[in-house]
Amino acid sequence: MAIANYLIAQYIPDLFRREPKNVGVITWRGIEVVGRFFGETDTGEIDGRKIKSFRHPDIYRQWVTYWRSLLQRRGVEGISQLLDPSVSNYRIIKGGEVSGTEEDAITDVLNYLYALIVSEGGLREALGLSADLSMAAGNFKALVAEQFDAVQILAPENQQLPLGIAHPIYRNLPIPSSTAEPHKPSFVQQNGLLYVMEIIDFSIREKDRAKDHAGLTSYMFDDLKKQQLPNGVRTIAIIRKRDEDDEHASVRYGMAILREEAHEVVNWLHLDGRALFLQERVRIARAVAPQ
Amino acid sequence: MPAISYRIWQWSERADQGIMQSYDVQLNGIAKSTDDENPYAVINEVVCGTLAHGICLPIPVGFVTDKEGAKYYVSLDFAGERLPPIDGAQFVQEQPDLACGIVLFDIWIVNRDRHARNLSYQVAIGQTQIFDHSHAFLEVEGTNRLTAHENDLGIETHCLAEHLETIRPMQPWFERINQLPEYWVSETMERAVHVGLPVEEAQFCMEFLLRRRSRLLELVAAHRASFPRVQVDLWGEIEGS
Repeated sequence: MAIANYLIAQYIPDLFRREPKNVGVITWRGIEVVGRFFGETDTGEIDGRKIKSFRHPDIYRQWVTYWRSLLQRRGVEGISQLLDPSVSNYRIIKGGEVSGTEEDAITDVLNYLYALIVSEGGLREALGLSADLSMAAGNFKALVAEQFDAVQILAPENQQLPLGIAHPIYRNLPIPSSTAEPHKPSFVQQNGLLYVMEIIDFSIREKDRAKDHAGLTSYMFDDLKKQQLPNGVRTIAIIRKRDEDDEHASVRYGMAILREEAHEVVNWLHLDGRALFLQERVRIARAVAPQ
Repeated sequence: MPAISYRIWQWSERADQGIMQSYDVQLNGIAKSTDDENPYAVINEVVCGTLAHGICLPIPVGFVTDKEGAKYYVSLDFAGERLPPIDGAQFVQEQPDLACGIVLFDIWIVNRDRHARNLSYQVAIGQTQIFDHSHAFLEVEGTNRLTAHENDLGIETHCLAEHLETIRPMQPWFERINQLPEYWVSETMERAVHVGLPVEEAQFCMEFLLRRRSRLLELVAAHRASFPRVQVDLWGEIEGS
């Protein structure tokens, strides 16, 4: 079983209070080592607008340069040098390990960990990191939920009783994962086969966050497929993407990894595709025999 | 060289105001004491700090204090956040004059402990600090160490020396060190006696420092191997080479 190890980069603004803020992740597997730090763009440069809240943005940049330089010069052998016990506003601490990564590129593992750890932990918190993202994602999810409700296949929140249809769609239902924490996809429907649906909004301003979400979703989909559930699983990505969103590398990357792991990708803005998708959901919901 | 800003912990108005507005200010500092492994730590800091101030190297202000019967050397904590270990090559490229000054100073005080973590360099504004001299000069062996290094550099693997590409700026630093008044060196030794250096050792140290400073360029020229990147044709530009 391939195990990837990871470190967490932290920023401690006040050395007396010593409250750390996670600002980066470094992960390695075998001789491969990669890192990602807050504020970095696709090209590896730090976007100054994103680090304006740091007390001394130039010192943050200098630390990132130092960490990257060390990893570039020494690779995995530089890991131990990163773990400096001396008191500082910036430090690297041991994170842990992630197992079962043999089929994942190390960068995918990195992006997954980054979304969990630097995005204040968890898929929901990652979505809620900024007002723009939470509002947009929340609106889009609410929009899709309204459509399910409009065709009378949406189960009420936190209720698993049948509605008079055989297989309704549930929201935020925990599904076992290969880790201690369950997955909580946006929507789930089961009629024999388990249909797992996740919302990804590529139309938001912060494309990198959408990319992160796509990465996390891909990881969830992959994990579910690997579990080889008794009746199988079908993974569906429900996206909102305009033509102009494809101009962003983050969006293209997010779409590429989603297509690798999702059995189906539905663009909500394409009316024909949306209609077919909803028809299928209704058919599944009302079908008596397992699908 | 820009003045150093120090980290202020607390700031309050004084009750007894004179003509000018004044304030009570509490500052942060980093304190070190001697122990069995390094009985000269505070002495080394006092000596090296005073000499560095005399030649205007960027070193934080320090002072000695007592706590529960033990002497501590306190170095004021400079403002801003802690910086990563210095990139010696980058520093030498961007601050060649100061790099030469630090190297020559370290040769003078026989500092074998100048590594990437006791020199800070804030790249964006070019601000430099040197600190932590507890293992320089007398180190742990005392005057025997000075005798042992009479004719060599005494800096071992210096984080800057190996990257120097020119030693031309050493000439003005050499002059600066040798222009330091003799009373400055003797007063430095007085301070060292005050924090525990035996008088007879203080006399030895003073003579050593005065003798050594006149030979600094001669020592550099005699140990070219310690400066592998300095071009051969530049060696003729400093006295003693």
